[in-house]
Amino acid sequence: MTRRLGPPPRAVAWLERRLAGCPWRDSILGDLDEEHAAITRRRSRLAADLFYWTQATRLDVPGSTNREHRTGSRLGGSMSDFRLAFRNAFTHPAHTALVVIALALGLGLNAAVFSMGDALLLRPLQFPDVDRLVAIGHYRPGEMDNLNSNATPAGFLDWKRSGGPFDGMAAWSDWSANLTGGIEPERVMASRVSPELFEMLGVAVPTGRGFGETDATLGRHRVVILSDGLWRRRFGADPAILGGTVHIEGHAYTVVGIAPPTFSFPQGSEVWVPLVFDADETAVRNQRYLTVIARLKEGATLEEARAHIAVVAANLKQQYPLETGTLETAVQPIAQGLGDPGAGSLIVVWQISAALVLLIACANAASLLLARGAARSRELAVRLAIGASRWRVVRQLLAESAALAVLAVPLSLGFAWWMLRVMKNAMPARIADFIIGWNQIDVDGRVLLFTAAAAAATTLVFGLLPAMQSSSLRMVDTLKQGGRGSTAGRLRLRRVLVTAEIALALPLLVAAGMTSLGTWRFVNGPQGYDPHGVLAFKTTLPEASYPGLAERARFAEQVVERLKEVPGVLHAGATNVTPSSNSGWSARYEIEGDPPPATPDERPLADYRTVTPGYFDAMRLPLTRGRGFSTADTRESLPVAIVSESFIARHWPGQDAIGRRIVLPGRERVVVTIVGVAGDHIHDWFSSRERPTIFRPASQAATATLAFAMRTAGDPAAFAAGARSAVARVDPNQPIYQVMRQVDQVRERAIGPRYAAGMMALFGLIALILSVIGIYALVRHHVAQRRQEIGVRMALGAQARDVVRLTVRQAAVMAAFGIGIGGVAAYAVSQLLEANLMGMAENDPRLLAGFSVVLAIAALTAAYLPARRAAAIDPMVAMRGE
Amino acid sequence: MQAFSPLGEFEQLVLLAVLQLGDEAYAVPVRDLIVARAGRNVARGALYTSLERLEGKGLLASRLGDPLPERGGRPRRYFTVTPEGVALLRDARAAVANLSQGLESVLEKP
Repeated sequence: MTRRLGPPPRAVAWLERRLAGCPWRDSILGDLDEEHAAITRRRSRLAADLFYWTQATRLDVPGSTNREHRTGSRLGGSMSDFRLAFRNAFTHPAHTALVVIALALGLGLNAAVFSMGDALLLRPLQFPDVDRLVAIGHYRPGEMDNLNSNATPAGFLDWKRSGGPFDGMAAWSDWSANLTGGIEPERVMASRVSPELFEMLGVAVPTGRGFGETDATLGRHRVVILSDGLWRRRFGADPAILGGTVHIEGHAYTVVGIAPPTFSFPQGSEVWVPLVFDADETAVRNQRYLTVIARLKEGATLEEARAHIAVVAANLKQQYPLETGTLETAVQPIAQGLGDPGAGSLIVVWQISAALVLLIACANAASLLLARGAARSRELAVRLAIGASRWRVVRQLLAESAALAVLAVPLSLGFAWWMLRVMKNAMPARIADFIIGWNQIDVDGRVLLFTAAAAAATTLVFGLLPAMQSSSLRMVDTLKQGGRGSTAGRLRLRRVLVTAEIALALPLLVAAGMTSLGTWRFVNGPQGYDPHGVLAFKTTLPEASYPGLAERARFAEQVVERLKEVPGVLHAGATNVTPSSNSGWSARYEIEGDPPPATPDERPLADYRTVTPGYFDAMRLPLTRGRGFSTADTRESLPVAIVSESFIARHWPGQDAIGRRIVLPGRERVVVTIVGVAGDHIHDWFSSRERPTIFRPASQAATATLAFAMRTAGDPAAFAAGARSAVARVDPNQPIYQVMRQVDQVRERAIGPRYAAGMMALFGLIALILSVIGIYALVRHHVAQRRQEIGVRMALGAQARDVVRLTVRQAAVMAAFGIGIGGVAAYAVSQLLEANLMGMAENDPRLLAGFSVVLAIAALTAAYLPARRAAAIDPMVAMRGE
Repeated sequence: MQAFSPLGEFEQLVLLAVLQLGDEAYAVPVRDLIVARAGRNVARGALYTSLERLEGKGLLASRLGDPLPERGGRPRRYFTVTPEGVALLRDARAAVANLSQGLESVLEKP
């Protein structure tokens, strides 16, 4: 047996590197070699290798270690720094816990917000090669930058025909549809999609087939792909449904495929049908309702795509100047083009706030470390005295800070995970489906990386200052003063830090107050009508069975009659859009007699509502002048309208508008006469608080989508079954949806602001807690340091009251400075919030005053508790104690 | 007379082991001997540090042997105790012996 049983070569190489420069390197390596051979003989090869690896990682030998201790220049020594740091952390559990909790709160907030930003903004869509997908759409100059539902059919077809740097182009339009047949009718989210969409997104249809070119020809387009969820829920996952028929909007569709389980793109779709255009539609250049995405050719860039589309758009503009009007064309990466335009600014505000909280946590940690530094100043001074370089000591202290940050990371991720869970659970699924990327919000590898990076940065922020301070070279003083040296400078620094905490907490609290107040007003403030005691629901009439105005109006009237028959229903009415619902309806108009505008786009815009006579009573929407609608307003009678106060204010302030006439251009130009004026109501707190509104009688203008409102005696939710059966008695195939209390509708509408307010409140609360901890720890530590001095003062006749006053006064000074600086910052923040979060944040000077008082009281209380302890010191004991 | 012995206890053990081993005193058997006779578990790093320090103080001298195949072609570093080292060991032993006089009943094993 001549095979040489040497140690593992990688361990040898590693050790050789570690021992580079050590004069005994060869003989030490030889010794280990020999021992390796001996252990192999005595026990086993594995045991020997294990032994060698242990030595390779742990061996501290002269040359490597000594050189390291002398010059402190080798990075390899960091490992021992860390080991020491962790040992140190565990020997002071209370101190460690305070720092780690502060950091974990700060880091956890940042991790949670980052997770949301990552999912919603950075990569909301996860498809293969998503980088090559772009969104194309129109916008008007000055409009918000989102390309959802912003392409015209003719535009899409022209772009597609133009070729360019695209592999393919697909469009879809959002839709929701009545699904009938079998069990009770149901309203489902649906999409009409180009046949190539699934393939472009890299989504295979596992059961049945996807759409092909032929499916997109008129007459052969009644085919459907069902979502996996719908297939299971409604058809019991029966494979025989393939080739079978389902009824959608009154038409028979052949089921050709079942989508893969989690696929619900776009907008939570459960049903996909091919997008087909009839001859009229292919020429539409002024209505935007398609979303268009394209896949860039391999190697093609976004710039090439933009240049190409710009040329195409310029040509089209020349060709169809009237139709295209002021519409511009944009190409954006898909994440940006289809992302939520509102979420961006909100998440940026959150991330900044979270960073501020982290900064407060850092100040807190730094302050606590300075306190520890004070207790250790003797140890550090000795180290410096016997020749450790300052850098060496700084490095050890930084390693200790890093160890604390490392301990905080898992805790912060747990905190983030919990926060995200709470947030996700609070979001109604109906809304979550619309937020692209919402379901991907989670603590994942990217969040972990982010948190680790944040923790590393944090270490420098909170660790460097105490490290520099503690290692400053006034060691002789320190030693002479029995270890209490350089406390003055350290204390000043801690006071600055705690003052900074208060100064940062105040703007956060004010921001939290502003968003909470805004949201509270949103939900509970005057709406212009009375949302309490109202049940609302929707239904959408399919064109197949309700082709015209007459049928739709009759349906609405019949349902209203049935609803009124339900015991406990006081009033009932129908409209096209209920306030605070997620849909809207607006119309352009002209005032008869005014000069017509140059282009159709320049006509004024108003919210447009069609209502049955009982609607105003059901909603308690007041009529301020003229008359309401009645059964005398019919298709054949004079076309009439009621307008809102703000409409009057826009056109005829202070004048009588009854009898004036409005022109509603559209497919059929209608001239309507104003017969009444209604009070203003809030449809959407952000964008249409007091929007001029035109009401038309449903008998003259009923729409296919109808919303019903019923005022009830007692809890409106108890009337859902009554509503369902009332509709079923008129048409058993007509599903109703979004059956909810009007107050819940308002509350749900406020979900965004409520999240914003909840987040901000959490930020503010954590900031408050952290700064209170900061003050408490500082005063407590300060008192402990000054035990002897306090003892002397008391022995010389100072009263307990004086001691308390002395101690609390210092906290009061810090609080006053912090609140002063923070007040200025809070004022700036409030201006910024008011400007950027229109309507979501409500400013009130009392907020700043109130939170200043809260902070001041919290600060003084935090200082008072240790101060009382100080006052209880027995002077004799304090003076004896060294 | 010195105020304190410049020899730590562990250093004494190392010097004694080197003396015991004579011509065969290199790190591996030195450690084995201390483990076996003194009943101490000795970290290799600590031993090397101690050996280096003793050499630095001039109490040990070292030389390299020939490269050996069973050591991957690496030489052994052999140690010998210098006369200064021997003298210090003697002093230390004498100090212990002087102070132990009359304590046989306490210190000797029963």
